[in-house]
Amino acid sequence: MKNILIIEDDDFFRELVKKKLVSLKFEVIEAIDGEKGVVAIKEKKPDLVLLDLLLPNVDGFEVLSKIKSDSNVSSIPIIVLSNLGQQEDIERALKLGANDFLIKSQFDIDQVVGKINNILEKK
Amino acid sequence: MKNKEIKKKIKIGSVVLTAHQLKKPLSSMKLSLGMLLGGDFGALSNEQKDIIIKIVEKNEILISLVDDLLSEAKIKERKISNKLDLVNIEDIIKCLINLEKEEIASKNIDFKFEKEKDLPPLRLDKEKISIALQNIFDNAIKYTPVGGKITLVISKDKNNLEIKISDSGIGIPENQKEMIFSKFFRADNTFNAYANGSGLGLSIVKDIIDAHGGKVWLKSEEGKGSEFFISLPIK
Repeated sequence: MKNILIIEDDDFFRELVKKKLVSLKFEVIEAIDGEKGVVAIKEKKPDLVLLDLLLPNVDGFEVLSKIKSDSNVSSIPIIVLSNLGQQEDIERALKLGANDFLIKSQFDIDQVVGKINNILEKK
Repeated sequence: MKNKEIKKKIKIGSVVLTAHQLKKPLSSMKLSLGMLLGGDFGALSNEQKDIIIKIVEKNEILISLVDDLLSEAKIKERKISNKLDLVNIEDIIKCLINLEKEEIASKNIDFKFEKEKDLPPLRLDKEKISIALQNIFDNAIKYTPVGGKITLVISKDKNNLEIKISDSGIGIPENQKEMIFSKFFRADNTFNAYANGSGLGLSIVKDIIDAHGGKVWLKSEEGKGSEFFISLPIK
């Protein structure tokens, strides 16, 4: 069973994504801010991370920097799911090592699942 | 996340902050409504589905409005600094195409990108120009029916670089072409079927292109499609 970590401070959004992933037999780990997210990545070493950018304490960009500069966890794929959608935000996240970027107001849950499956198949 | 924290993270003013706070529940609503329609919470009757589809449409209008307000507020904030960099327009357009490729594929649109060789770099505000081009490109995709055609061409002459975005969409009525770049204007026929929008997008485009000393104009025939032209000076 593949492990997916969701780092997201919006409870409702997190619960929705979790429900879908659990129904597809993924094991889901949750973190409600960037700081807890970084700890969870290092301790649990999930197969993939879904990361929000506007997070309390440590934001999503900082999470990307910390994870991609740590060789123990840098290979863990990260998909950004964010309400930030300006080109500079997308470019910045991709430069920091995000594998993909989805703007929250533009995707449906099947697109997220599709991205997850694509990335996990390539691993 | 609290307002103060968001403000600190992305260095924004109150309009942008409000827009970001609005987007959060709207995005969750979109996701949950999509899951409801997709059967993730059990089967729905046709009547329930019809009602949810109407709520989805209303939600999309709100998302679109917030996105436009966000773009406009950010542009206003940026007008103060007016930072211009030497930018290769082709790179911006390729990034834009990459962002939209899934939407283009999902509508089975025949998309073509053509460009002249040796295009000179221009002195631009990269983010503003990206927003302007994205607005026109988004409109082309939004108003082009499934299986339609979009072409993007970059060409140059001695003094200007020209970007042309043509689509086979619904077009713009002759008597409304002059008003299309006005704030909150939406052509009559856009209300009929295809898409949501606040009517702010093209006024933002005009502001951005004007600020760069360029021009934006269109040729369009209702029912046959539109051609939008952006001309930027080579300095």
